[in-house]
Amino acid sequence: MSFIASIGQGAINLYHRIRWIVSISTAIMQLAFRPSSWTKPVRMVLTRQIVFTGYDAIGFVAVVALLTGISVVVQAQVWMGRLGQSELLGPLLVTVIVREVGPLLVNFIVIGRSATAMAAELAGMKVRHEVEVLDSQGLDPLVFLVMPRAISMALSVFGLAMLFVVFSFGSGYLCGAFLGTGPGDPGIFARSVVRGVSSYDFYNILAKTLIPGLLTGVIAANEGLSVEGVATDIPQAVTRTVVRATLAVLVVSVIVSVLTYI
Amino acid sequence: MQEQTAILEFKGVTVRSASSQISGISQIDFSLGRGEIAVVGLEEGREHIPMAPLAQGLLAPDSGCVLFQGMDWADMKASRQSVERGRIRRVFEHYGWVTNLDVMENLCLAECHHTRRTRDEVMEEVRGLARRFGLEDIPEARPTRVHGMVLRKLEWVRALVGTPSLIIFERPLFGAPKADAPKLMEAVGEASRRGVAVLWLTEDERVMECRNLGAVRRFRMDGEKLVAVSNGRESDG
Repeated sequence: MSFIASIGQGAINLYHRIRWIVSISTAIMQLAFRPSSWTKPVRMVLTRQIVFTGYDAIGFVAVVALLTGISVVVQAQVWMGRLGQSELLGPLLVTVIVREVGPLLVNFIVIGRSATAMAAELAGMKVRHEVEVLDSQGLDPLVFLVMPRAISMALSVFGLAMLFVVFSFGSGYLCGAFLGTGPGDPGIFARSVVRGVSSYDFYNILAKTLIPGLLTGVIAANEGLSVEGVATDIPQAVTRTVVRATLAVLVVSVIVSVLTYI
Repeated sequence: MQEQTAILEFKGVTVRSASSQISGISQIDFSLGRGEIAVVGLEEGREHIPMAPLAQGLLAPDSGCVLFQGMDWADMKASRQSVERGRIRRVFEHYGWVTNLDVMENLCLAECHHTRRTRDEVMEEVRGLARRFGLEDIPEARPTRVHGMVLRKLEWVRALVGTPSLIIFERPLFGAPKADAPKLMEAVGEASRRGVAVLWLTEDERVMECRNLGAVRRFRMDGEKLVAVSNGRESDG
């Protein structure tokens, strides 16, 4: 195959893959808004996945947020003070933490911690014919396996991102106060941050958490369930999940950022 | 009088062998009405006969069609197929458990998903059926931590829970104590008298010869063909 033909084939494959992921995501959203989809076993899967992806990750996300807050918020306080632009501290922090760093880091943590586990779990189920066991009992794999996992991933990423923002601002303020680089009065710091927040930031963080979270769940489930009966294919499915979910998160993040500023 | 729709109907079903572990079948015709039992005798060591996945619409035949309660699986939407599969129970030839759920969750799964019964109600029925097969307690563990013989009997329990239209047994006595075979046959006979249709694939001659099951039609697999057995004679079915 010639070089140009291989590029063309790659583009066609990418288009088909994106179309497939988008169509599954759309189907999941349709199913999620149908009350009959939420039977007791499906609600149980959703709860367990939220506990694993969201609740169990709080400690790690908190540590990352504390460290990020110390490095980003303190540096911002120091440099804005030196430049005599302290009144811009709030908008700058909102731009960096709320719009970019928070959602991105949380998405990456969820990919590394939960999406990989989900892909491996579902691939294992496929290899052991457990998907057929579910299907033969009338439990549609899309409804029982994919939908609750993808929805829980979206909700968990949103919840963890909100926690990340609170923890990083808190740690940054406390560290700045300890080092004497910050505004000192917590009221001034809080007002400065609140002034920097606009309604766009709310939509921004929603779009940068819910959409990539859902896509990460769908990609992990898709890669896991694509394994065809051989256990040695499971590690490759996990690797593909990391690569594709990371790309999806970055692409969505860039698109939302561009849309926020135009 | 209006003729009753068959629960399961195979019409000229042919499936070519897809692998060395799965046997093909050729031009199979049979139907199973409410309360009827079809026992299909298999030679010992025979590879997997894909009648269960065909009957559940999980495998599309290369030619012919499979109807469940009068509807061709091929004509049903995916959501409809899931609802209809909820009326079928199956004892698997291979490992039939979901390993990330515990045993009781596995046993209650289909019934809790497809009906409005409470989990406690289903668990009560499960415990009653388990006692019938000599299991006083349901293990509180994942299936991988439970002995195969216990799991096999619990698969019988899962198949009998609720009010299915059809139960498919794929060599259900494999790995089970021989002494429990009559208990299963008795329970299947009772289910059939309640109107449940049963498709039973077996290597066990006791099942082929059992006279207490009720309205039984007997077949044997002869190569890829299904042959009806009546009064010791065999004829194409």
